[in-house]
Amino acid sequence: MASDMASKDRLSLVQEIGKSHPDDQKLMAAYGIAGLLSLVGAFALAAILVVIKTPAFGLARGDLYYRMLTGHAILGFVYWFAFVQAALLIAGATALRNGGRLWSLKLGWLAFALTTAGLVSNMVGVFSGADVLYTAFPPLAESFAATPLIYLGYLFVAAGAFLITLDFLASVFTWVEKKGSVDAWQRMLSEIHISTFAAICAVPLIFSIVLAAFFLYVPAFLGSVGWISTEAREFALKFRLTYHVMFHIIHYVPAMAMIAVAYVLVELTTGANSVYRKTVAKGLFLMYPAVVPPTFVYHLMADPSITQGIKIIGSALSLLVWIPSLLHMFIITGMMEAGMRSAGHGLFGWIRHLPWRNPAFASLIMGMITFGIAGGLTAVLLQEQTASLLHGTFAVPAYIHPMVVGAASLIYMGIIYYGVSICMKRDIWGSVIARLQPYLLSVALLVFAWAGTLAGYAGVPRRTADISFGGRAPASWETLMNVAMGAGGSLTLTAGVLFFVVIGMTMLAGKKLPAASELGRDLATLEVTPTREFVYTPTALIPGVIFVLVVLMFTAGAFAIIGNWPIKFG
Amino acid sequence: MNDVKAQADGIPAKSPASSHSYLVAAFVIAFSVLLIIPMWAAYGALFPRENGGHSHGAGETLAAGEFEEKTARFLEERRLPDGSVRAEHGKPIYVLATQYTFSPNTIRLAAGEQYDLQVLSTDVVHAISVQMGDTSYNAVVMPKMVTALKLKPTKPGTYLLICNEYCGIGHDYMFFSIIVEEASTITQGHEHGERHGK
Repeated sequence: MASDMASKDRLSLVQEIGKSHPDDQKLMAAYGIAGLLSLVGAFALAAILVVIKTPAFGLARGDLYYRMLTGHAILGFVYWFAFVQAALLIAGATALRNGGRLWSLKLGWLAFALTTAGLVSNMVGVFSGADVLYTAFPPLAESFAATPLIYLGYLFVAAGAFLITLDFLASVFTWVEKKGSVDAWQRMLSEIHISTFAAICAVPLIFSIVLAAFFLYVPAFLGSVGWISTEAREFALKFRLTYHVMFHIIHYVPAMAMIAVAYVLVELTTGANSVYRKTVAKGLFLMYPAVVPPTFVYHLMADPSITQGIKIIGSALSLLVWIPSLLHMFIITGMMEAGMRSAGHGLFGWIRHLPWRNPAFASLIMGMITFGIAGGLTAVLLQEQTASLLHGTFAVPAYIHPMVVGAASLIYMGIIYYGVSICMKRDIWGSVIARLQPYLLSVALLVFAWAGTLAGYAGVPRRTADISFGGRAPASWETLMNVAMGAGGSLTLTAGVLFFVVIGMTMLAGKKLPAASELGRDLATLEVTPTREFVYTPTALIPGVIFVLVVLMFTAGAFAIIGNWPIKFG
Repeated sequence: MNDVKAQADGIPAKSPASSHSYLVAAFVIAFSVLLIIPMWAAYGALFPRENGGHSHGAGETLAAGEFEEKTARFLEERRLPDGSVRAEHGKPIYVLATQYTFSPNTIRLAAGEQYDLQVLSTDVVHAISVQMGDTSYNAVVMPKMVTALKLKPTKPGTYLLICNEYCGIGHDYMFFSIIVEEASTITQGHEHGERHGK
């Protein structure tokens, strides 16, 4: 009986994604394609960075490096996420809401146009010579003539994000007929899919980001074109602080969206349903808007502008942001475990029977593993007493890339496999490549993370084109960077290219499927025949235990290194 | 039927409490990351900071001109014939960061002595990364705000200090050195300098 219900739910989830209104689908597709093109651009510029930053190639060039780094980060961190997350918001408002409609299609397209205008403005700025990195800190940025285009682009993308979020929120309001009835709101919030609820929880964070962006970039833009005068250094200090509040919150929108997508993927790939109360998962999403904003301090642990007391409080609060993510990972793993073990598999035997050959499942599981590892790598950076060991070193990109590419982007890739297949009614092209791609991407990023973290511990600076320092740098730096960038970076690029080829070819040449509600062989939901009711999830507890032990070991290791420094710092 | 099969496996049929207990265990595990907090006190006692430490400074603001004057005076008083400066124990070492140089360029310290290092930027945000072989200490350097560090070298050698915050196209070439010498070498150096009229 229960299994029949589960099967019906799965079917309806696929059907709902496929039968959302064609006009909404077009907007969603426009956002999705613009996001994919941004990601293609980010990977293309990353290829140049790999060549420059691999010492074995001997092609370190500062002038090219900083420009390419600026473009790479803006495309990857700002526009890929801005576009794809807007597509996910529309999916949350329509496909996951019983074929509901977006409140205003015109507003959605206006938001898309503004985000695209931001992309164009930023890319023109970068390639006109704004070597300002994506941070664009004044007063440094003001010394580049093209900087106003960077600030202007950021204002456009903020306006676009505001309007599409407003459209999503207005769609949510239409779901409740009696707006004044608390019961009606409660009923709606309990009925909606976990992922849509997650999107609602992300709204306050998105609005905070937009507000901070206008507070930062309006005066920065006006100052950079000379329309207002800013006392450069005073403004720089204020900018830096507000920037880090905004930048910190920005991180958690992909984190929440990634987890929201993971809930959809676990249902679509394994057919699993939650054995826990859904209100628990929904409640955990509420923790993010509560916990995230005050923890921005951990980006400023090596700054003289923040007192030690504030840094210690910030460190303690920062530990809390791990908690909802850890618990979500437990719930998702537990859903798989309970679902698989209901078919009679043993304590660990169920893992072997998961759909490892489904590219979307591989994206989900490898994304979750990479997310855990990258999360563990942040431990030293967010603690007041240990942050100075790694602040500004290569250990930062060594965890950020696994986090945003190996976890968030990979999980987004998983849902894109479904999105393209369902919306275009085509089977995945190149099964073997699609199966391999998620594993290659995560392994590549873990190689990058491993060697890059060691490089960070050895002191390799984060954003420096030529790390030789006139032959004064330690010999180990070259070897570690050759492995991180040369091996890890190249493999990551290869995995990215494979993904783009599979998606592009699926759109153009994928085998036609008879109906939107049907899935091809590669993406078909795992058939599990339950032989018993099973709600125990002991195996799902193991990753959490490992995570906690790892962060404790990293912290102890950092203290041991600091205790043996040949120069003692106070 | 399912219940019979479940009982045959030694597992009771589904009850609300069964999944709930694992969820509670997951909460306990997740919240145990807070065990890091007592580690701060434990390791803080094991590796105490020199004089308690200020964690990169106390937010003291200072005009660039004032700091430039202090640095110039420091350079004038402590410069050696080879262009390096020898810091004096107990007195501040002033380092000025400007695109794309640090001034002074080479600082000599005595092993076992404690020093106060003060760094300020005259233009954009920089950073200092003190390279110590296989590890580094990193601090941000800002315009108009003093980065103040207490440091006590224990091992003689030459240490590279680099800017690790992007500060413009010449960022790759912004670095300086600290040379840590044995106290006995410094005494001999002083005598040598005095013989040459310093």
